[in-house]
Amino acid sequence: MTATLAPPAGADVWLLRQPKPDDITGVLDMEELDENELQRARACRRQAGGYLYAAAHIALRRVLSSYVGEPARELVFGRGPCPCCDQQHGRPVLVNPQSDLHFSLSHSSGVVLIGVARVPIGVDVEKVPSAETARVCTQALHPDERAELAEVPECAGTSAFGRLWTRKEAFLKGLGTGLGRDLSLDYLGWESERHPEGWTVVDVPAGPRHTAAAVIGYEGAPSGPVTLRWLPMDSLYSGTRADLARKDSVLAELAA
Amino acid sequence: MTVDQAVLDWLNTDPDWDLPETVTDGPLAADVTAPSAAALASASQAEREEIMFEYARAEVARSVGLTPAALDTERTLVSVGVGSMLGCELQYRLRDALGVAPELKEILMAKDTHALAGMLLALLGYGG
Repeated sequence: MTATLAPPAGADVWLLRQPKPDDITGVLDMEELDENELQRARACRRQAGGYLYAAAHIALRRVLSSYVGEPARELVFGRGPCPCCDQQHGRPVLVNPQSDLHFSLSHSSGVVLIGVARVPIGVDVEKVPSAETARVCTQALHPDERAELAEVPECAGTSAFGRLWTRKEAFLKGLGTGLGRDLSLDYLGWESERHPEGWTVVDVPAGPRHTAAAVIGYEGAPSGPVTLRWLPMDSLYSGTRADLARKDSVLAELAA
Repeated sequence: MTVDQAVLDWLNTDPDWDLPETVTDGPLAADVTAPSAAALASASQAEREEIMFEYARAEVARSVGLTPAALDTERTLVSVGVGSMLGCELQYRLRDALGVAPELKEILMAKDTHALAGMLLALLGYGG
């Protein structure tokens, strides 16, 4: 099989929306998943959670398969080195086939986000939280981020918090520490010139009930646009082989 | 650039896909009461484990919107619905109530609610 997508000059961010249960027209191709993924999909308490987990991982395999030209089920994942210690629990990486491609996966309440780039990338999507969750979690953020959130009108408070949180989590995933690094250390607020050096922060539109972000570790200036692409749900079903390279998969080019 | 109309519709509307959970068998806990230091100090180790498990179960259940009885305490916290934000909120609630809390990553990696209770006891100096 040959690759149908070229590694992006900047970054590709794939967005998948799970349809309402009544609008699901096919069966997820669970044969794409390995034993570990199947086990984790089954371990979710809510059926919706397990379905989303499976959809997210089938999506990741099929998207990466289009870039590397290896069948989705043949892909083998491992973990990169952790930046905090010597152990191998950093960013997820492709072990088979060997590839320079970087990627990141996130899913939350019916939405899946996948980032692909030739440099380290982290993505995060979260359902906008309750006011109470936002209030409590704001305490964990950088002092200047907290000050900025305090200025936001109450009606926009939870989505502003969600935007900051997804930037932060995407950054920590790009960095490779994940949530092992304290959330108060880095500034991902509204002043982009103060963001961590070497990282480009992009807010990603993800529908009315979610916030999302992609953070990309270019060496130097951004080397291309961040392209938001639509991943149709029916590309994950058994017996389908969606052409992800279709031009109309492009939703937007996001300014970095 | 052409984009499917359904996609544009979705980006602008609320399809209400993720309905709130309805699987409860009683009122949700508005307030969860943490065990006092005195109660823990005077209890036997077996009693402490029981007390802390009941408390951890109530906190985790509240964070995912379930009654304590409806929470599956044998599953990982992530698989019962504690993601990064709810994990962070839970960390603050635990710290407010007990004065100690595990690191966020440890909460998210907890094997189950029993393991969370065990971490809390260990942090309080009641390790097995």
